[in-house]
Amino acid sequence: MAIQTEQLTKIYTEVTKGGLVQKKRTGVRDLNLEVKTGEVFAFLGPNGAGKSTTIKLLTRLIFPTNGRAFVMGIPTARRVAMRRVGYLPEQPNIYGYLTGREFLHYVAKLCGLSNTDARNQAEILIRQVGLEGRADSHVRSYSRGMTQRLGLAQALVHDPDLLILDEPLSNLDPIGRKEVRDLILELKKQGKTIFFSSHILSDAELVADRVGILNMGKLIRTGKMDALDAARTSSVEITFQTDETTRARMDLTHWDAVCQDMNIMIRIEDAGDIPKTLKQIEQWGGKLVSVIPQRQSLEEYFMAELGR
Amino acid sequence: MHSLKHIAEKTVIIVLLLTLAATVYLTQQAMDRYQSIRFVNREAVFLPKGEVLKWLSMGYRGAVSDWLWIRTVLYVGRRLMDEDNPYFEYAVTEGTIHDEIRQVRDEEQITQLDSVYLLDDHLKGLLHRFESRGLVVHVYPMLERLTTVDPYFKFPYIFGGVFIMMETGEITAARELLEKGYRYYPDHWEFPFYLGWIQWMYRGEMDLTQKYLLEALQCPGCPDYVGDLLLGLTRNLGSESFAALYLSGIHESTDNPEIRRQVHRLMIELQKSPGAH
Amino acid sequence: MRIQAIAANTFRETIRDRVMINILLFAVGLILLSLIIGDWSLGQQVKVIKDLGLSAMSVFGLLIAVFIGIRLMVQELERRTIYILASKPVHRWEIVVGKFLGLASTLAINVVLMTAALWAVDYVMEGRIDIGLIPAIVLIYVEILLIVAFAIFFSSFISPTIGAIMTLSVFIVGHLSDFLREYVEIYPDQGFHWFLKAVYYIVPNLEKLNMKIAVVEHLEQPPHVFAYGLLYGLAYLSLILMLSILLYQKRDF
Repeated sequence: MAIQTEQLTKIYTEVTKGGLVQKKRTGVRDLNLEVKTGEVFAFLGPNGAGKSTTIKLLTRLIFPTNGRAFVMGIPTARRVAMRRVGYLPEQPNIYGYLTGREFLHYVAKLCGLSNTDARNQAEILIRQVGLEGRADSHVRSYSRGMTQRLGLAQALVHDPDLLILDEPLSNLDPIGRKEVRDLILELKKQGKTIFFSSHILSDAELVADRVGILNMGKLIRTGKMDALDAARTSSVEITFQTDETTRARMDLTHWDAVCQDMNIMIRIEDAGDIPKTLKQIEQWGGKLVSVIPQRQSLEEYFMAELGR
Repeated sequence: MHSLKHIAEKTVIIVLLLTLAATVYLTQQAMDRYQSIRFVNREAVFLPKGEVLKWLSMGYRGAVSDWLWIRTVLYVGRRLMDEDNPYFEYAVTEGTIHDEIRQVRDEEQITQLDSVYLLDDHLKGLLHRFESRGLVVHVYPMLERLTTVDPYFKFPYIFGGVFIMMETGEITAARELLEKGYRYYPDHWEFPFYLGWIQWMYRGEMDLTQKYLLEALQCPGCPDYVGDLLLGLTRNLGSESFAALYLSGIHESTDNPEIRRQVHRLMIELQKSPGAH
Repeated sequence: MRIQAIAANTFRETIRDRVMINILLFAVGLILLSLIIGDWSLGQQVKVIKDLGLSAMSVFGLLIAVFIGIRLMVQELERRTIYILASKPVHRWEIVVGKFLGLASTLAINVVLMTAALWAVDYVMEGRIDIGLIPAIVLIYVEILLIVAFAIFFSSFISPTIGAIMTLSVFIVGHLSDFLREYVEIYPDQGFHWFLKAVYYIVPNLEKLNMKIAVVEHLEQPPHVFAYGLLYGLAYLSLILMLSILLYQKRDF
C-alpha cells in the first residue's frame, strides 16, 4: 500500500476578534484512503474540498488533529517517511537566488544523497525535464512553465517510489499538460505510484487508474476509472444509412430516432442492447455508419455525485 | 520635440535638486557659525547626569565617552584658543563669558590660595597665574560625566588634573578628579604623582606630597625621577629647584603635546628667574 | 549532512543580501572615518579608533539581527518556499538550526571584514595591530548571534514588526541588566526584590558579553571573564534557539 490513512482528521482553529473567538474549520474528516502501489490515483474535488489539506498531511507539512497516515508503509509522523516520497506543491515557489542546478543539488542532498550522487542526479533530472539550457540561470528568471518543470525535477531527483503531486496539470498549456500526462504514465511504467490532485477532470480521465472524490472534507466516492466509466455511460448513439425502401420497413417507434436525409441516428439506453439492435438494423438492410457511446461527461457525473 | 522636452524637464529637476542641496548646506554652515556663541556657555548644563548617561550608553560606553571627550576638547579649544571666532572677543569682554569669568574670579578660592605661604611670591606669581580662570567653567562637570560613563578612560583625568588645573586654578575639582582616577587605577603611578604636585604647589601640604610620592614609587613602572623628587623633598631642596624638578617630571610623564607645551613654558620662565640654578 | 546543506544554502541566500551589504559598507566607512574623528581627540586617536570600530561592529550586528534574523524563517513561510523544504526527509529542528548556522557564517565573514578594516586603521595609527581586541570581537559576535536567536524566536509567533521591536527591546534591557542588579541591592524588600531578581536572570545580561572597554584600555581581566562570557552567551543562545525549535516543531506550514 503506497498510501494509507486511518480516520485522518484535520480541524483548523482560527482565532479571531483579538483572540477571543475560536472558529473551527474542518479541513478533512475521518479520511480512510488507500492507494495501491503502482497505480495512478486521481484525487478530485472542488476548491476547498480538502485536497491540499490531505496532501499536506501526507507530506508532513501539517499535523493531523486525529488519525494517522502512512506513506510507503511508514507513518508520516516519522521523518524518514519522506525518503521515498516526491512532492510537487501547487505552483511551486523556489528560491530565486539559486540556479536550477544549484537548487536540484541542494534538494538531492536534503534527501540524503551524497555530494557526488546529488550532483549526478541533478544532471540527470535537468535533462529529463528539458532544462539544460537554463540550468545555470537563476530561478528568478524562469517562466512559470520552467519553474513547474524544475518542481517536477526536484520531486524526482531522489528516485522516489511514491509521487504526490498537487494540481500538477493546472496552469499549464495543453502541450505542457500532455508532457506531464506522458511523464505520469512513464513513471507508472517504472513501477512508481502516483497520487495527484486535480480539478481538471478530463486529465484525470486520461491517466488515472483509480479516482477519489473529496467534498467538504469527506471522501464521498472512490473507484476504478473503468468502473466510473461504466457508471457513467448512459446511452449509445447508433447511426446508419438507409434508402427509401429500407426506411419504410423500419419500425422506429421504440427508439429516439433522428432522421437527416438518408441517415438515421438512434439512441439506446442500455449498452447491453447493442448486439440486438445492430442485428435488427442489419435485418432491415440498413448500413451501419457508427456506434458511439455517449458518456455522461465526467463533469456531469461528478456534479451528480457531489449533489448527493 | 518629444525628447527635447524630456531633456529640459530632467535639467530643471537636477538644477532644483542641486539648489536645494546647496541651500541646505549653506544655511547649516551659517547656523553653525552663529550658534557657536550660544553654545559656548551652555554645553555641559544640557547633558544629563553621568549615571544616566552611563545607562543610556548601554553597551557603547567607550564610544560615548569618546564622543563626550571630543566635545570637551572642542569646548576647551574654542574657549582657550578661539581666535577665529569674531564673536568671542565680544563675549569675553562684554558678553556672557565675561559674566562667567567674573563670577568665578570673585569667588573665595582665589583668596584661599593666598594663604599658601611656603612658596615665595616669585614662584606664586609664576605658578598661580591662572590666566584662563573662569573661561572653561564647565570642563570639570563634563569630565566628571565622561569619567562616570567610562571610568577607565585615563587621559581625561590627567587632562583635568594637570592641564586645566594649571590654566584655571580649579584645585579642588582637579584633585577630586585625580582621586577618582586613582581609585580606578590604584597602581598607575601618574595619579599620586600629580596629586603630589597639587598638594605641594597649591596647598603647601608637604606631608601629603611625601605620602603621594611614596605611593607613586610603589606603583609598577614608576620612573626614577619620582624617587629623586622624594629625595629632594626630604632633603628640603629649595622650592624653585624642587618646582623645576617636579615640572620636568610632569613634562616627562606624558606624551600629550598640550601639557608639555604648558609645562615647558613654565619651566623656561622658571629658568629665567633669579632664584634658579 | 542535511544541516550543512541548509546552512550552506542560507549562507548563499544571506551573503548577497543588499541590506546587509549596505550596513556593512556603512560600518566599514565609519571605521575608516574614525581616523579623522580621532584627530579631534587630543591624542586619544587609538582609543577612539578602537572604540568606534568595536561599536560599529556591534551596531552592525544588531541591525542585521533585526533586519535579516526576523526574516530568516518568516520569509520561507511567506514565500511558501518552505513547502519544498519541509516536505523533505529533514527534521524541523534541522531547518531552524541550519538557517541559523547559515546566517552565523555570513555574519562571521562580515565580522572578519570589519576586523580587518579596524586593524588596518589601527596599523595606520599605531604601526601595529592589536590582537588583544580579539576576545572582545569574539564576544561581540556571540552577542550578535544571541540577538539573532531572539529575532528568530520572536518572529516565530509574533508579527515581524512587533518581533523587531521586541528584539530591540531585549537588546536595550540586556544592556541595562546590571542597573537592574544594582537596583535589586537597593531594594531588599521581599516581594519586589525577588521579582527583580527573576527578571535579572531571565533577561540576557549583555554586559557580560561586553569587553570593549577592557580590551581598549588593556585592563587586567581575570581569565574567566572571557571564558564565562563565551559560555554564557553560547548557552543562552542555544536555549533561545531551542525554544524556537519547539515552536516550529508542531507548526502547520
